[in-house]
Amino acid sequence: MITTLTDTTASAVDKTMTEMRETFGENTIGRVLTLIIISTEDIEEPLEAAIAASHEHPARVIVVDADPDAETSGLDAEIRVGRDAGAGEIVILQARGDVLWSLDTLVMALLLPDAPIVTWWPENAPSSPVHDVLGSMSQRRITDSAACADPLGTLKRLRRGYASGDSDFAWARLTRWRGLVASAYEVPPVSTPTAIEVAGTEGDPSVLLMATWLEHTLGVTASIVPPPEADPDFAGVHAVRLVREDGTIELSRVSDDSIIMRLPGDDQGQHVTMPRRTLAELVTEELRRLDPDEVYGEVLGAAFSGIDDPATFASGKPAPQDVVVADADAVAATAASAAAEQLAEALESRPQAHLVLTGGTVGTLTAAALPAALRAAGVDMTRLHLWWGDERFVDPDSSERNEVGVRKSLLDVLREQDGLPARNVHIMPSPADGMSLEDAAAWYGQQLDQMGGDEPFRTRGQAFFDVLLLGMGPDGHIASLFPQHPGQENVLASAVAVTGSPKPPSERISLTWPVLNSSRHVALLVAGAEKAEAVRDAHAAVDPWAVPASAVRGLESTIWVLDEAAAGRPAG
Amino acid sequence: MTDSPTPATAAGAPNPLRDPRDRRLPLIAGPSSMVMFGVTGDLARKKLLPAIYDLTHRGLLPPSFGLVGYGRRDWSDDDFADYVEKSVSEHSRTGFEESVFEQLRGGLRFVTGTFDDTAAFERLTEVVSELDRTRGTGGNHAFYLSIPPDAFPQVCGQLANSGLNTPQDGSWRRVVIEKPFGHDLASARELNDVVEKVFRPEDVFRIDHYLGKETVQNIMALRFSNQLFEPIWNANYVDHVQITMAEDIGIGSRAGYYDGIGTARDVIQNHLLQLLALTAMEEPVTFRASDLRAEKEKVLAAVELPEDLALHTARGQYVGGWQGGEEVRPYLEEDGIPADSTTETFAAMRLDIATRRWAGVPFYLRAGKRLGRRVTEIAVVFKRAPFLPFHSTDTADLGQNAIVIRVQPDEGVTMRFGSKVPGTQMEVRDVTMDFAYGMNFTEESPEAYERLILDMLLGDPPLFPRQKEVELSWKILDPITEFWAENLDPAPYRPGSWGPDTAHDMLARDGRTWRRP
Repeated sequence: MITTLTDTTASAVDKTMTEMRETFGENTIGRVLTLIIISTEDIEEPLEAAIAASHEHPARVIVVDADPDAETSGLDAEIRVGRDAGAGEIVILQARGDVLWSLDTLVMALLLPDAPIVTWWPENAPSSPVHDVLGSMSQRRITDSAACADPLGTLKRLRRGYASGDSDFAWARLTRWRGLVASAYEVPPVSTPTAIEVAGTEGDPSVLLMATWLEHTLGVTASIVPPPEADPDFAGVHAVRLVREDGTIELSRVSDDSIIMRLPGDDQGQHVTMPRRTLAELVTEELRRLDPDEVYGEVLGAAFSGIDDPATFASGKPAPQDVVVADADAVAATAASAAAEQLAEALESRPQAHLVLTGGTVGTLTAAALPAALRAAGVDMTRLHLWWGDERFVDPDSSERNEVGVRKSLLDVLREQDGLPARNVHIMPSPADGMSLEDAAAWYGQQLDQMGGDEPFRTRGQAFFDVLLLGMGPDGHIASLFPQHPGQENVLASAVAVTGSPKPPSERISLTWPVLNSSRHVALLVAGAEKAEAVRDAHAAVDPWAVPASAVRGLESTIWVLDEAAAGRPAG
Repeated sequence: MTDSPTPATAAGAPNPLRDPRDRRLPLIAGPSSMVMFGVTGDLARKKLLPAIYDLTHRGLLPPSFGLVGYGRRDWSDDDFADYVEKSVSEHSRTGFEESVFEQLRGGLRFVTGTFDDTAAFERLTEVVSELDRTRGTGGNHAFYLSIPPDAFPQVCGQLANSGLNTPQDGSWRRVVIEKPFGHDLASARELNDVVEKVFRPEDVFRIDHYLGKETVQNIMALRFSNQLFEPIWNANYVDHVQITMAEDIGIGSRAGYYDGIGTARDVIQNHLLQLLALTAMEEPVTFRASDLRAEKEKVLAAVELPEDLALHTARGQYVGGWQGGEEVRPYLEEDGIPADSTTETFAAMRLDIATRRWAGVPFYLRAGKRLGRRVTEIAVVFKRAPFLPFHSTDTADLGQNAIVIRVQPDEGVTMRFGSKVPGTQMEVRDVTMDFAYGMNFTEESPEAYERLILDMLLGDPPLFPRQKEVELSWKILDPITEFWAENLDPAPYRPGSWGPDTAHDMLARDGRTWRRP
C-alpha cells in the first residue's frame, strides 16, 4: 500500500499514516525504533536493506531526500505500509528549498514515541555525525566510509568528529572476520603472535580497522600488505596471518563465499563458509545493539591521531602579509576592494562564493564600503552567500548585533538593488528564534555543514569560505574566541555557544577554529593605537590560547589591513 | 597507531581479542568436537544435527569442529555424511547451503559399534585423537548421550575404560544428557551416580530444552529488569498463578517411553517446575549459574504439597472421539499401550510456596495431551481491586487483572485489565494489551538446541539444571505420583477439551477457575 502526498506537512503525513493503519488493520504497536535514512542517488538499495532488517527489527523508516537548490520550497511525501514495507512502515520525505533549514521539525512529528532513533548515511558521511541536525537527535549514527568518495579521508574525519554512538559499516563488515580471527587465536598451543599481517587494498577502511584492532589489542605490530597481484582492487580484508612460534595461522578469502584457514603444518586447510556481508545484514547487525560500540571508538581512535592543539588548523599555510594604510576608513576601503576582487575571482570557477562578515567599528565600515566595491569588481550577487564569524545572542534588533550594524548599509542595499537572494543571508539566530543558546549555535553549525562546509572544515588543504573578514579586540580576540577562555576549546562543532564572554554581552555564538581556518582568503581589519600591542603579539608565534588572532590563516592568503596607529608605523 | 600493553597469553589465559565490551563479536565456540551416541534417533535427526548445522551456518562453530557419530550401522564416514546431509536439508532452520555443509563435512566421522564393544571404543579413541591432530580440536570433546537412560552405565563405563572421559593439560571433556533424569528420586540418584562416577559434576550438562527458549529467559528479563512488575509480584497483589503446558496431539510413537511414566513425570517434574521456579524465585545476586541455581533451589525447597492430595490434584486420560475434525483413538487403544493402563495423559496439581512472598498464593500446574490447543503459558492472576467506586452493574464484565507470559507458540506477554467501554454509560470491561515477540524482535529466534549446544561447548552453564534441582523436583512430585498409584485412577476426558471434570472441580473448591488459554 503506497500513498503519495504533494505539498504537504509532517503532521498531515502523520495523520495519513494513522488512517492507513486503521484502514488496513496494520498494527502500530511493536515498532522498536525509528530509522532515518539520509537519501542518496539510489534510495531503493538502502531501502531494500532496511526492509530486510525490519524483519528482525520492526522499524519506522524515514527517508529524508533533500533538494536545497529547488526553486520552490515545500514537502512531498510517500508512505508505504503493509506488503510494500516489510515488517515496518516507510515514509519518504522529499524536502525542497527552505524546508531544509528546519529538517529536525520535519521528522519530529513522525518519530515513534520514546523509541530509539538511528540515523544512517548510506553515502556521504558527515564529518561529525553527532553534530548533524538529525544525527544529534539519534542514539546511533551509522556511516559507510567505504561508500564515500575518499574512504580513508572520510574515516579520518569520522575519527576527528567521533562521538560515542557512532559506527561505520567498514567495522561491521569485519564482524565475522574478527570472530574467526579471535577463534584462530585460540588454536592450541595458544601464544601471542610475533607478527601479524593483514592483506588487503591500501585505502580500504576495513583493512585499516582490522590491522588497527589486532595491533591495538594484541600489542603486536600489524602490517598491511597488498592483496594478491591478480586482484589489486580486492575489496575488504583478503587475508590475516598470525605468525606464531609454532608456525603461521593463515585465514584467507578464496571466494565471495569462503575462507580457508591453514594451521601450521596443514597445507590443505579447513574450509569456512563466510559469505561477504550484504547491506541488509550490516543494517541488521547495527540495529541489534543500540548502545555505543566502545571497541569501535577505541580502534578508530588508534587508527588516526586526533587534533588536540587548535594551532594545527593554522599551520602549513602562507604567512600573513601586512598592508598599512592611513586610517580606519582606508582600512575599510582597502579590505572591501580586496574582498570584492577575491569574490569575483571565486565566482569565475565556482557556482557560489561565500563571504564571512564581522562586526566592530572597522567591520561595519568595511561592510558599508562593500556594495560599491562588489559592483566595481563585477560580482554576481545572486550567487553570493553571506555568513557571520560571530554574533551576540541578544534581541534581533539590538544595536549590539553585528548583523544590525550592517543591515542598512549592506544587506538592504544588496537585496534591493543587486538581487542578493534573502536565503543567501545566513544570519545567526537570536533569542527571538525560540532556541536556546546551545541549540542556536548547533543550528548555525548545521546550516554551514549542510551548505557544503562539512568536508572542507575538517580536511586539510580544503576551504569552504572564499573570504573571511575578521576584526580583532585589544585583547587579541577574534570572532568570539577569547584568550584563555574555555569557549574556544571546542574544535568538533562548527559553531559554538560562548558564555561568560569577557566582553559584554556575555552570550554569543562563534565559529570555531577549524571553520575559521577554512577560508581561501583571510583579512584581519584593525585600526587604533589601543590594538597595537595585540597586533604585535599576533605577529609572533601561532598561539590560539593566548592570542587568538595569531591562529587564523587563509589557505591562499592572509592579510592584516592596519591603520598607522595599529601598525605603529606609517602607511606605505 | 598506539601501543597497548602485551596481555598475558599463557594457556588458559583470556583471549585479548575477546573484549567483553565488544558485544558485536560473535561468541564462537573454541576448538572442539562432539561425539554423539544415538545419532540415528529421532531427536538427533530432527533437532541435534540440524542445530549443529545451523550453528555452523551462523558462523558460531570453529572451522575445526568435528562431529563423530557412534552407532551400530555399518557406515563409512561418507555414509554418515550423507545421513547428516539428509537430516540437515530436511530440518535445518537457516536453510541448506552446500558450502556450509562442506565446512561441516570435513569434520564428520563415524565409528561402528555397539555399547558393549570395547574394540569399537578403542577405535573411537583413535578417531578423536586423529581429529585433535589433523583438525586442531585441541583435546576438547563433548559426549552427547542421546540414548535411553538404561544404556548410560554401559556407555559411561566404556568412556572411562578408554580414558575418553579424562581431559589432558588444559582441555575439557563434557557429557550431555537429556531428560528424563530418572523417573523418581531414587532412580535419579542412581542415574546421576553412574554419570558422575565418570565425569566431574561441573562437566555434566543436563539439557532441558525448555530452558533454552527465548521466552523462558525473558521471564527473568521481565521480572528483574523492570520496575513495573516486581513490586506487585507477591502475595499482597497476586491471587494465584496458573502454569499450563497443553499439547493437542496424543502420545504418537512414544508409547514405549510414555506408558508407566505419564504426564506428571514427563513434563511437570522438569518443564513446569522450572517455570514455577523462574516465576517464583527471588532475585538472584548475579546471573552467574551458581547464584541463579541458588535461588531456584531455594524456591523449589519451599514448595509445599496440599494436605489432601485427592482434593487438590487431578489426573486424567483421554478417550477417543472427534478432535478438531479428526477422529482420534483413545489412549488405551494407542499402539503399544496395554488396555488396562492407568498412566495419566493429564495431570493437574496445586502447589504452595512457603515463603513470605508467596504465602497463600496457590500455584496451579496443569499439563496434558489431546487438550484444546497447543499452548504453554504462565498466568499471574491478580486480586480484585479492594474497592470499586462504580455501580455493581458497571463492572459486571470486569474480571481479575492478569499478566500472561506466553511461552509457546506465539511467544509474548499479555496484560489484561479493565477499560471503559465507549459510550455514555460507565461500563468497565476486560481488555488485553499484547506484546508479541514476533512483532518486536527477530523472527529468527534460534532453536533452543542451538543455544544449548553452543552454551555447552562454551562451557556456559546457567541454562542447565544441576542434580540438586532434579532431586528437589522429584521430592515434590514423588508423593503425588505415589498417592496416585495407590488411590487415584485417571479420570477420562474428551480429546480436544481442557481435561477431566476433576481438574475443574479442583479449582472450583478454591473458588477459582482455570483460564482458557
